[in-house]
Amino acid sequence: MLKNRKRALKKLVITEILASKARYLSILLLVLIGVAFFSGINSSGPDMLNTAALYFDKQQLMDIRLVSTYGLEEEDIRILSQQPDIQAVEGGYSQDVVTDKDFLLKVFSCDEDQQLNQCVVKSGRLPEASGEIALIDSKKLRESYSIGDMVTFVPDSEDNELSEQFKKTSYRVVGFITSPLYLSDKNIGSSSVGKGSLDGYGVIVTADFNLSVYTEAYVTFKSLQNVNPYGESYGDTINKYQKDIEAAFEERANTRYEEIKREAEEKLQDAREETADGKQQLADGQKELEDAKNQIDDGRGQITDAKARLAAARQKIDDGYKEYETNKADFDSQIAEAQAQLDDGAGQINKARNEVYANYEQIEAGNEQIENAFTQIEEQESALLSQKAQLEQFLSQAEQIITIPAGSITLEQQQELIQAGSLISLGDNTALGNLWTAYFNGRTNGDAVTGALRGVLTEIENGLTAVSNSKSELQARQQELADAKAQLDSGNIVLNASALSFEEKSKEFEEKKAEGENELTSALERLRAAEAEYEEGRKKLEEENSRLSDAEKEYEKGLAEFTEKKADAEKDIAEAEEAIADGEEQLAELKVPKYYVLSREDNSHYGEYTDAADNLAALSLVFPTFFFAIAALISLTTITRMIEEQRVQIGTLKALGYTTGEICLKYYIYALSAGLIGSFLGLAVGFQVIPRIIFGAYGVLYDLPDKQFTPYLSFSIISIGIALFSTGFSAWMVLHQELKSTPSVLMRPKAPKAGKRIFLERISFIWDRLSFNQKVALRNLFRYKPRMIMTVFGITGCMGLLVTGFGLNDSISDVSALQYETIINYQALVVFDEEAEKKDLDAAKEGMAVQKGIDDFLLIHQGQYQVKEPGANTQQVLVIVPQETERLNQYVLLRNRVSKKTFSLPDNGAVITEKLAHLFNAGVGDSLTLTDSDNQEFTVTIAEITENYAGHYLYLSPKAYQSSFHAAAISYNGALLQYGQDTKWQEELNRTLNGYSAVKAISNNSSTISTFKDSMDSLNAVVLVLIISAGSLAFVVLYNLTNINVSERIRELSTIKVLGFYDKEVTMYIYRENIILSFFGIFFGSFLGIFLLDLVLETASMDNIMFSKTLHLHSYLYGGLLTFIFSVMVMWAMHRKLKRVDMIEALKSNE
Amino acid sequence: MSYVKIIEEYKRYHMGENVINANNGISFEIEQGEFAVILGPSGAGKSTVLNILGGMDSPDEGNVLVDGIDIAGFGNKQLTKYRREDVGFVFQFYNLVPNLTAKENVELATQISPNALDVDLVLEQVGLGDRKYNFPAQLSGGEQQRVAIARALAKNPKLLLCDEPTGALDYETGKQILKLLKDTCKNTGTTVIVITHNTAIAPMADRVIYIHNARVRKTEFNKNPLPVEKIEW
Repeated sequence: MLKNRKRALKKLVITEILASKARYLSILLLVLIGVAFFSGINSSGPDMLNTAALYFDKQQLMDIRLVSTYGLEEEDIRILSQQPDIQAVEGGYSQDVVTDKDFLLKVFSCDEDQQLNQCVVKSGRLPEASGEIALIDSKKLRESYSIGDMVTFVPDSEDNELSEQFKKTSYRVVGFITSPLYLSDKNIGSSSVGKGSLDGYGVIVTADFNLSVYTEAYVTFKSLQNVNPYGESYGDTINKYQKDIEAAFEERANTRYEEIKREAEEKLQDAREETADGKQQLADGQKELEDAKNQIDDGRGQITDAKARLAAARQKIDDGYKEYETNKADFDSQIAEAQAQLDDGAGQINKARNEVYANYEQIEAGNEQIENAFTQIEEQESALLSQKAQLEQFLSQAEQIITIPAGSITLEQQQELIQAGSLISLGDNTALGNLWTAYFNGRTNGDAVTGALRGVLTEIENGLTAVSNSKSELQARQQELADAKAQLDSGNIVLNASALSFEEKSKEFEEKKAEGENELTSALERLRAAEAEYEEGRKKLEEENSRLSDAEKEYEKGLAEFTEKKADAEKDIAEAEEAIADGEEQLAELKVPKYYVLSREDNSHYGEYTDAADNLAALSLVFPTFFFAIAALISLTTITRMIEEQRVQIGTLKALGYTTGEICLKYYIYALSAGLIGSFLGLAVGFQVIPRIIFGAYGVLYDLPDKQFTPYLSFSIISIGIALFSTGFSAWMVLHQELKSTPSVLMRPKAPKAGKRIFLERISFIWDRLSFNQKVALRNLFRYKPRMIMTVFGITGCMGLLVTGFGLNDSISDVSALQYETIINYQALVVFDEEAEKKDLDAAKEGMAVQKGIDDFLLIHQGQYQVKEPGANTQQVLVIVPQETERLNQYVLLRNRVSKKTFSLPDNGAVITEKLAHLFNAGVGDSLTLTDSDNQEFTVTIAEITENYAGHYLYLSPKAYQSSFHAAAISYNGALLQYGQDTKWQEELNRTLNGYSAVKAISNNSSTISTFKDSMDSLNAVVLVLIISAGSLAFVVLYNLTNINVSERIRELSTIKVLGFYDKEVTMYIYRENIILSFFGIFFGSFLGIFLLDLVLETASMDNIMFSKTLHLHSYLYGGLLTFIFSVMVMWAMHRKLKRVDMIEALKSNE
Repeated sequence: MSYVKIIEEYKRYHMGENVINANNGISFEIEQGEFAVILGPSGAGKSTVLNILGGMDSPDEGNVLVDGIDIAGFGNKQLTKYRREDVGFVFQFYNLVPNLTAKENVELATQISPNALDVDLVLEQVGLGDRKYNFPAQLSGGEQQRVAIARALAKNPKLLLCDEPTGALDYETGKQILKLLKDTCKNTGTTVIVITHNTAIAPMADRVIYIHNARVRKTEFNKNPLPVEKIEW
């Protein structure tokens, strides 16, 4: 029987669930969302910490890191090892170095047997041999280097010798790693090298370091193995050990100080001696040179003398030549004269002889002429005589012929006569023949012929006379010639005698000439010898001279060399002296080495990571609780509706004799099963999905291996408890109420709630203005008050969460903008070395002043102080004292956050930042005690409180500083820089500034901003998750409540459908109420959002960050719009549902 | 041409594998201004006829002519418009909106109807002039039904369809309601169709359509219908 009943019940429950799937699912879903959020966000923080703890444990992350201002010696390591509870102590090296691709890396030592801070090898392997390097597994370096590539370290400035730090400068990449010392590959840290901010890290083998002391030592403790590093006991133990180690090194610091001092003094002494030596050497060198110079000068004097002597000799020779030339010329002219006389004599003789000979010849020729003339004349005489004879013949012939008549003469005779006559010329070109011809021709008479012949005979007669005359003449001339010849012969005799005497004279002359020539030649020879001698002397001199020149050159060279070396040596000496002076000064100022005992908390990533996890805890309190509350309320409403709908069934069962318990069981099972299934699904999502999303969000920053997703029993129990309570309790409440009634009452339909006038109707001036539909909607709203309240509550919650989410986003993103755009107006803070020399400081300041791109800078005194006062954690405060009070406002906006009133730096006290004032509950007029690193305390009076969001600052005017810090003078050891340049330029600036020895550190606000943004961006992802979930919650709530509303009023809806309301009008008839409620919810939700945002910011806030609670108008708008969109989506779903409502069915029955 | 004319109208419902013929070839006519009663036992299919005539359902076959327009082929929207403008309903269980006063319930109809009558006047007509600001819960059954009738009439419909209007009322009140319907028909000329299983009502109708087993068994005409006071059940 019981079994049957149970079976029947089981069947009933299943039937019920199937019949109302949507309702059952909505309870289940609400519980699921609530539980998932509660368990998920709650477990994400611990999951993050667990993951980190496991990682640290596995990689043996150090518990304590020891560093000192002078590095660490073996002795330091030994002292560490002697501390109690030590598990391991390891000394290590690290150096910041710039690579060839301009990455600034922190290079650590890493050996195979290294136990602490073991790196995780992401790819490749760890360095095993010298010259190998493993780099950080970051995107930047992965993109630039691959395994097998070479990394070369380059000095960041000229006077930086890498060899002092490393044995090698080139390393082969063998792997990519992550070190547990850094949880993120971003914002590795700052550095005093190069561009100032580290890009990553790398590890090389210890042997590649060339440092005389360890740069750090790492320690782990036995009792802290496997202890949760985020637990209290860990913190307490570490604090204690930290103090113990600090105490242990207090004594050591003094010993070490003495040691260093002694060594330094020794070194100084050595240096002094060396300098003295150097000076002596310099003096020696100088002396040697001077000697050489003297010698050269002597030589030069000698040469000058020799030259003078040579010149004199030369003069003599030249004179000798001149004399010789004159002598020779004289001699030559005498000779020439003598020769000319001789020649003249010889000529006269010859001439005379020639005359004689010519005369002889003339005579001879005359004789011959005469002879010839005789012959001619005789021949003429004989010819004349023969002619005379012939002519006389012809004449006689002619005379005979004439006498005979011409005619009588025969022609032959005539011809004979003519012919004979042609041979005889008669002068005048007429021959006898012609005459005869003429005669025979009768032209001439005979007398002409004989006359002609007689004329010729006369001429011949004359000729014969002339010839006898000539003969007598010739005989006379013959005589003359014979006389001349006799004369000539006597002349010739005289001539021969004079010729003889001339020859004698000539001989004499030749002899004299030879004599003179000999004399001249010997003089010339003498001269030549003198010249040769001179040449020799000259050559010698030249040689001597060139030797001297060489010596001189050598001297010059020596001198130049010496001068050069002297400058160097002097510089060296000066430097050495300076170094000695410095050394002395340093020795005088030598400080006791400082040992810093650092814990994991001092690693910025470590703290940031913890903060991130803690922030989640803050969120996990507010949001999931809210989800739960809504889920519980909705469950209540849903179950109430379900039970009300089944009054008749309950009544029937009761009437049939079922006990109250048996009847209730079904509903309990229904409600609790939904709650339980929802819880388990929610836990699964919560423990597995949500931490993954959150890890994913943080993954950008922190990528740890072996992520832990732990189901936490505590959160499971709490969430299941709340889920079952909210579903079960609501079921109990309704059932308890209903089952009090008798079956008969239950079986009758519950009278519909009576209509009622609402309060608003009494305010007629509003009510009358409303349309009919609005009136109806309003009336209906107030008719179902619980559902109205629930709907408003749900939408308020959704809107509140959305506003909180957006507001969180606003506040977070505004912090960075407000802090670094409005409040802080400088781009970099440069810190000078307190101990730098004035000239180095001036150089650095000068450098900043001339640096192009820097718009302006302000010198400040800055110092880190701590505020240790009860009521809050110790806070780090940066004290800033501007050199020029009035210019501070240009760099930092001092204003009251609320009144927005700006003010300038007062002289009567300090201006502190708001969060600091808030933390220590200090107001204007109160005083605040600052503690410096030497535990000195200073008290300042608060004059103003200024708006600030990140970090703590305390601003003082120089006057106020002097009075508060009892300082006579202020050392301006820092500067605020203003510039509007890109990061590349900034890196260049950092490099330049780091090059100045006086510049100790540069902090760029842009890198602070990016750190800030990175950590805040990860929170944004969480905000997004919240927004989405809030939306889904709103959807479920609205859908569920509307669904209940529709089912409750299905009859009414059918009626208006029958009355002819269009589908849209039907939907609006019921949804108008939802829209009104949505507006109410959005309105209330805005306030809830402000409240929640306050709460979240308060819990999530970090000590050094003040969130500006800002809510932009658009955040409300987005929130409202999203809420409204969810509402509209539900409306659309309802519209589809209402369209399908069967009006006939609903109208048939009587409820 | 009759004002209402149903020709060979079929309506079938599928219940699992069975097909139930709710209306199996129904044909009848009603003239304008008539007071018609559709009479039949439960399950005879008369409500289906009313649903189809009232534009709440469509027939599977046949024609339904109202004032010359065939509404059988109307789509959802056309049917809604038809209900909105041409038909007034009176239900057995009044179906008043409990959250609205008597007047508001009437206004619910008039504000969507194009040729609506004056609400107060109509309420006056049905004798509720002094109860118009009461909520349904504050009214008796008869008064509620009067509000329902007023809501139907205020639209000034072509047809007034009443589904067992007296079913939930006592004898006296039932008779008063019937009288109100009859008077309305007479005074306003509205065509009134009453569906009932109560045969006693038949004599007061101008036309009585008997439906039995999903078919029209017969149609009777009363030349001289009895006044309401004369009928008894």
